[in-house]
This record gives sequence, structure tokens and C-alpha cells, in this order.
Amino acid sequence: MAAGGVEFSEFVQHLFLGLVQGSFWVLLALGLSIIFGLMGIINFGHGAFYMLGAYVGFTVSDLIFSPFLGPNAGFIVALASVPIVMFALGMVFERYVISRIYNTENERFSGVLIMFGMSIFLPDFVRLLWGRPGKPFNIPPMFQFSLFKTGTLDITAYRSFTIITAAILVALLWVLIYKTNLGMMIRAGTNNNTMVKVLGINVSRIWRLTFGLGIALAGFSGVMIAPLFAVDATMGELILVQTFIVVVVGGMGSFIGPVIGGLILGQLWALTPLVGRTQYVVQNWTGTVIGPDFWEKASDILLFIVMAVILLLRPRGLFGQEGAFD
Amino acid sequence: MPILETKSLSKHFDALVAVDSVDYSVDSGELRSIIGPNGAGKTTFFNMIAGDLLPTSGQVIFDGADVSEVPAHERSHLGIGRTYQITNIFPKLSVLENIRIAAQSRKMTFNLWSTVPSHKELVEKSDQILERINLTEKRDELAGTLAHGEQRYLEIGIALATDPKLLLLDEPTAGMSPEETIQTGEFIKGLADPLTVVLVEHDMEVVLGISDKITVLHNGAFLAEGTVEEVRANAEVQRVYLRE
Amino acid sequence: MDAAAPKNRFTPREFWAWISEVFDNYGILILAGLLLVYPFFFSALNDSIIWLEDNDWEATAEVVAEVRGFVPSTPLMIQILIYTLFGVAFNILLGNTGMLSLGHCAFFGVGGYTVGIMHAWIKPGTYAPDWMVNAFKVLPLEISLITCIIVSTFVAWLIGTICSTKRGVYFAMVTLSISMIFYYSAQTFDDLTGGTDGLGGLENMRLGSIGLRVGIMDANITYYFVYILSVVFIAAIWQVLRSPFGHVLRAVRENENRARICGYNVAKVRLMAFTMSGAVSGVAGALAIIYGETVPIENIHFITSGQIVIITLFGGAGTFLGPAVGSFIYWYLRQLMSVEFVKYLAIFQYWEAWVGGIFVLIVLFVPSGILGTIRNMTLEYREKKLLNRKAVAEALAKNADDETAADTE
Repeated sequence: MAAGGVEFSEFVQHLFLGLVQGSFWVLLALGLSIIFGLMGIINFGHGAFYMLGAYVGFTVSDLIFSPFLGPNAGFIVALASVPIVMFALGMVFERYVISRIYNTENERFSGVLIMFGMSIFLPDFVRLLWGRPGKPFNIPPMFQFSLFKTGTLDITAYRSFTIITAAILVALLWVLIYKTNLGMMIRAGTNNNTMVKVLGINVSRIWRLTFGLGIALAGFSGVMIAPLFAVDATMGELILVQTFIVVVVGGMGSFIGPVIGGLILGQLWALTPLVGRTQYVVQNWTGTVIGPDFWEKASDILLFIVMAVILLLRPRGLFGQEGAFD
Repeated sequence: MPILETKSLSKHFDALVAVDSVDYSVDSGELRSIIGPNGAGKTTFFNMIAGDLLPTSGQVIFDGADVSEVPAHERSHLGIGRTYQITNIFPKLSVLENIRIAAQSRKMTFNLWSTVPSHKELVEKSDQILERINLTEKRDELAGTLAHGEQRYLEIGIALATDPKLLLLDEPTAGMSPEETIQTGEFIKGLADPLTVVLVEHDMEVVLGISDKITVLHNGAFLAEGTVEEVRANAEVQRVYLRE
Repeated sequence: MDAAAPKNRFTPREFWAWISEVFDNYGILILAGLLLVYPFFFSALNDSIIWLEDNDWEATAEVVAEVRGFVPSTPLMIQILIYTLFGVAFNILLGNTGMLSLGHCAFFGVGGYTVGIMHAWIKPGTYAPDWMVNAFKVLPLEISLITCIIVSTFVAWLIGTICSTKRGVYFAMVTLSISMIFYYSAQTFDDLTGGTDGLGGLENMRLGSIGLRVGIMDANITYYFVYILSVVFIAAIWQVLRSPFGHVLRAVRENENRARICGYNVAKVRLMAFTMSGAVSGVAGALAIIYGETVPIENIHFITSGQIVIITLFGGAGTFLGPAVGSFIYWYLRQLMSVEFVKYLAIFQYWEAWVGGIFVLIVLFVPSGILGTIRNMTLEYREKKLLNRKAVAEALAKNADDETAADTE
């Protein structure tokens, strides 16, 4: 990036924001990968459960704990309880809904369609329960300071906290997947779904746990991102699609794929708005200069273009296994 | 002139060498068999000839042309037909449709404006093949509801409907009763010449009576080739089969 | 009547089987006929209320007016027709080729926006050159519809090419992601598309060649315009599905690998099906904006994809007329919920929740859809009849054998 009209501190600031956004994508993409790896179901409801997590977190913190113990404690309790609630919810959902379609004709299509149905159902259901307008969700007071601040560069405590938490979670997931029996089965499933069935393990329980785990990850990401943006019923839509892009670009069926993919795309997404402020002038076909306004909005679309290019040139993604998921 | 030739054909799956540098040649009109113990690479070898898999190295030469990189559907048009070890048919289409869809591939794919029954030659050809595989009476039944043996025949019928020059049969008698097996052997013998037929068999006895020549693969590599007697007398082959 | 004579003993199951048989054979004609006269029926209903009021039958008029609330109006029927066309196009993929695309909102939306943008922006004082403005003045709707077909065909081909390396659920994911690029583009380029408010101010909604003004002014004329185009495209799809190519599609659905070994270029067949489906979906999208004369951004959102999946699945993905049934039930229910039911229970204003919930229930409990379930019953029934007939024939043959045997003795 030629930093013509762009201050160095601004550049670093955008790198930082990209890292924050990328961390969330990594978390969601890993949850998606785990569920897909074992069950062969692409969780189209991932964004919706993420949104639900944020709402549950809002209720726990704002209505239950903050009035009695103060906003800090409320937030911490929310952060701790949402994964548990979502984990339970995911298990119940797997037990009473998804398990019905196992071993039916077209079980994978059915699974996808059920989750897709949930992604339509949940936002409106949340509106029904919590009302149509979104909910404000403040950064808890204990995080309301900056670690480092100079000019336009502002490394805030809460954003740093999300990055660190995400890194810890990714490390834990790595341990889970590569060092435990459950992880072994997830990896085996990623390579060969029938193999896990043949092994004669209590598959249904493993699947339930895995699904709960994926949902818990989504819910946790939701409540963690809530203080950065307002909580809103449609917040899961864009991020669901972005997660898909991360998975396609990084490659499904590998652990490193979603991680690297999420981080790269996060930077790309955060740095695009800076293009409009460099000394390079870009014109459109009518000769009008494409101004900073455009580049502010171009980030989202650029991600799609990256995905399309990857699909055409390297269908398995940057780190995906060849032929495993086409 | 050989109709099919492979030159040091190999396939590796990561570290596993499934087929190891096999040179093979079949003359037009022959009925040949490939045998070998489990995991000898017979099916992988077939998959590379038919185009289901691309070789890691080596060449497949069919009818004088190098087809190593040609996609499977084009090889079908060149004249390679095949059946699978695990029955591979259209289970939810009727028996007639199974055959007809295969016959149709020689004539048209992107024909949007006519109807299928209006192509009389397709129906006739399908009926002939049904006659040949003895399924005329069941032409309107769903293929998935046929008995196992009938499904195996249907799959051969599908392959025949594509007018192959070379027919690759992957364990055609798998899962059949001894009587059916003998019957099928006779049937396959009737197919050869003008057709060239290559069989893969796990069980040596099935092919003894009908093959012109037998090739033995072991651990993906060429082990022996010759007439039934020669292969039987071969010490290497005996060693491999006895150890099994 | 003779007591011994066999009565017409239809069990409910056989009755439905019979209905389905009739529907299979003549369903298209019956439906097309009913739909052809529908506006007359609805106008007659309206007129009767006026007539009753004029003749001092106020109480009766009120009852009829109440009933009319439960009769689908002509504008609703326009919507149903459009989604039937959309569903039939979508079903080329889901029901016939076995491809689950969750990105069809892209074509629906792109078709709508193509027509919408042309009608909103091709006028003096914009970037549009004079010749274009002049030509557009003469044949506005013809030009925009043809452009729409070309654009949506191209977009479908492009998306099909990008997604063609993927299959199964992965294909669903990639098509959904790719389709959302159009949603975010529509949001981003709001100067052109009107952004989240939708694109309004469409002008010149008329067929220049026959001087017909369609659009919001006259529901009946718009209805017949939509009707004719839908019938033409549905008939075209019907022909394609019974053509040799249609058989190839079903072969690919049943067993892709076998189809390839039979010599079909499966990737090309799938791309062709996808392109056709997308092109017709684009036309449906264009028709969808004509009556309202605005392009709502929801048309390009993935909820639209969800709608069309639910419509197709509910009607019966494997059947040709399934989408028609699904479309009717979906829109009728949605209308009832948002207009009638909501008077009694506020919960019915959350129709997306209902759609999503019902969607899940359908996938779980009626995976073959209404027509699919009925057809399965028919097949069972036919099978039974066939077996009976076989048994009778065998018995007769046996009798005959016995008799000849007796004769020779």
C-alpha cells in the first residue's frame, strides 16, 4: 500500500481493525468447518445462531445481572453463560430436529434446508421476542480505555481483548481437534464420513456434542462482537456470507485454511477503504473520479470478487484438500 | 494392432502406490482377464483406462491415440464402455430408460425440441439390447427393484448401448450364485468379437473357461501374463495366491 | 339398482390417486383454463357486492364482502403466477437435475433491476444517449424485457461457470454467497438502484408495439400480460423437460457418475440447466416488478431464494406442477396471515418467522411435497392394480390350461 495520502498511523489502525474483524471470521468459520467436517451439513443458520447469542447475551447482561452487580459483572456473566446456553440449545436442536433427517433420502440437502429455514426463522423470531428495533450494547466500563493512542491510531482495550480471546479459542480448538479423541473423529469425518460410522462409535452423541460446540462458538462470537456494534436481528446475515467466503477462500477440511483465510480477508476488508485516500486516482467509465465514498463501501464487494477468483482458479481454496469437497 | 495399450501406467494416492508402472496391451476382439488378490490395483487400473481417475504418470493409448488426459465422457464417445464392481445404474429410472439414456448419448445431448419416443431408432436399439440381456419383460419396472443379478445384466446393457469398441467389466459376477456365474460367463463370451472385452475378476475360476489370456496383477504391479495353463503353472502366481 | 352390482367403492386413497392421475394428464390445461378466467370471476365478485348494495341488500353485501377477504385478489394472483414461473424454472434444477441452488434471488433480482433501471433511467437528462432514449420511447417494455433476458442469461451463465466446480451442499453454499454480491452491490450503488429503499419512479410501463399500458393502473391487463408470458415460458420449460435433454437432466440427478460414463459431459449439462433456470428466473423477476412499478431490494435478498425453495418443496420438487400448488398456498397463506389473521393475533405480522418455521416442518415431515406425496400414493395404487390384474390373468390362464387338459383327456 503506497501511503500517499494515508498516514502511517491510519494504516496501522486499519490493520488493527482488520485483525479484529478477521478474528471473528476465523471463529465462525472454524465452527462451520467443525460441523461440516463431521456431519456433512453446512450450517446456514450459523449467522442466525450468532445473532441469537448476542441477544441472549444482551438479556443476561442488561436485564439480569447489570442491575444488581453492575455492567462489568453483567458482561462477564453474559460472556460465560452464553456459550453454555447456546451449547445446550444446539444439543436440543440436534436431538429433536436434525437427528430426524439422518439416514433419510437426501439427508444432506435436508440438513442444509433445515438450517436455511432457521436462518429465515430466527431473525423474525428474535424480533417477536425482543422487539423490532435493535438493542444497544455498551462496552463494559472496565474495557473503556485505550492501550495505545496517537493521532488516528487508537488501539482500544476491548478490541484487543477480542483478538486475544479469539486467539486463545483458536488454540483451544487446535488442541481439541488434533489432541483429543473427539478431534480425531472430526478429522476422520472430514476425510471420510462413512469411516466414522463404520468405526462403531456412539456417533449420535458425538454429533450432538459437535453441533452444540459449533453453535456455542457462534453464540460466543455473537456476544463478544455485540459491544462493538449494536445488537440487531439482521446482524447474522452479512457475517454468514462472509464466513462462507472465508471458508471457500481458505479451503474446507483443513484447520489452517479458515484461520489464514479469515486473517487475510480481514486485512483486505479493512484496507480497501484506504485506497480512496492514496494518491492514485481511479476513474470510472464516465471519467468521474471514484472517490473515497466508493472505497468505503467497496470492502464487502471485494470479498465476493476474491471468492469468485478463488473458485475459478483454485476451487479447493488456499489450503483445502483436493477433490474432497467439490 | 492393439486396441488398448498402457505404457508404464502408474497411480499414486499420496504415499500409496495403487498401480505401479503397468505395461499392458489388448488386441481387437480379444477377451482378456485381469486377476489378482484384493488390493492388487485392478479397479484403479480400470478407472484410469475409463477416465474416472487420471494417472499419476504413464500413458493410456486407445485405438492409436493417447487418451491419458481425456475426460471420462469423451472416452465413452471414443468407444470405451465399462461396468463397476458395485452396481452402478440409474435406480429410480425404468429399465428401458436406463438403456435408452445410454443409447441416446450417441445421438444427442442438447436436443431441446423433440420428444424421446419420437426417436424410433433409440427405442428399437433399446429393445434389442433388452432382448440381449433378457430383460424385455421388465422394461417398465424401476431398475432399483430388480434382483441383484438382473441389475448386473442391466449395467452391462447400459454399457452395450453406448456402442463400445472396448468393454471393461469390473467383477461382473460379484454377488452372483454359482449357476448365475456360469451363465454370465457364457454371456460374456458371447459378447467378445467384434467387441473387445477386458474382465477384472477376484476369483480366478470364473474366468478360466472363457478368457483368451489372463493377466495377473499383484500389489499394483504386473506379475504374469499368458494363457490359462501358463498362468496356472507360473510359480510366482502360485506363491501369491497360496499366501492369500 | 341391482344390489349385487359393484358400487363405486372409492377409498379416500384411491380417490386422491384418481385426482392425481387426472392432474398428471390434464393438470396444466385445467390450471391454465382456470387462471385464464380468474379476473372475470374476481371482478364478478366485486360487481356483485356493488349490485347488492345498490339494491338494498346491505346485509348480504357485507357477508359477501367478508367472504371476499378470503378470496385471492387479482393482484395476489399476479404474484402467484410469477412465483409459479419462478418455481418451475427453479425446479429445472432442484427437481430434475438434483442441484440445490440457494442463489436464485440473484437472477430474480437482476431481472427486476434490469427492467427497473431501464425504466427509471432511460430518459432525457441522464447518461443515456439520445438514440437509446428515442428507441425506448417507442418500444419501452419490449426492449427492457429482451435486455432482461439477455442480462439474466449472461449472469446465470457467469454464476454457473464460477460455481460449476462445486456439487451438493457445497454448491448451495457457493451459490448463496455469490448471489449476495448482488444484494450488497444494490445496497452500495444506491444512486443507481435506490439502495435499501428500493427503486421507484419507473416510467413508460407499456408495450409500444400494441400500445398496451401495463402496471399498477390496471390489475387485469397486467394479469393477462403476466399470464401470457408465464404460460409461454412454462410451456417452453415443459417441452425442455420432456425432450431428450430433460431425460439427460434426470439421469444426471439419479447418478452423475453413470451419466458421465455413458458419455454425457455432466458439467456442461449442469451449466446449461443452470443457465436456462436462471434466465427464466430473471424473466419472473422482471414480471414481479411490473405491477408494483417499484423494485424492492428484498427481491434480491436470500430470503427470496428461501421463498422459492419452500414453494417448490411444498408443492413437490419432483413434480412439474408442484411449484404452482406451492406458490398458491404460500402466497394465499401469507396474504391471509398479514391481512386477516393479524386482526386477531399480532403474532401473525412476523411472517418471516412463520415462513422459516413452516419451511423446517415441511423438510422434516413432507419432504416430497403435496403433489409428490399424492403421486407416491398413485404409484402405489397403480402397482396394486397392476398386481391384481396380473393375478386375475394368471388365474384365468390357469383355468384355461386346466380346461384344455380336461378336454384332451
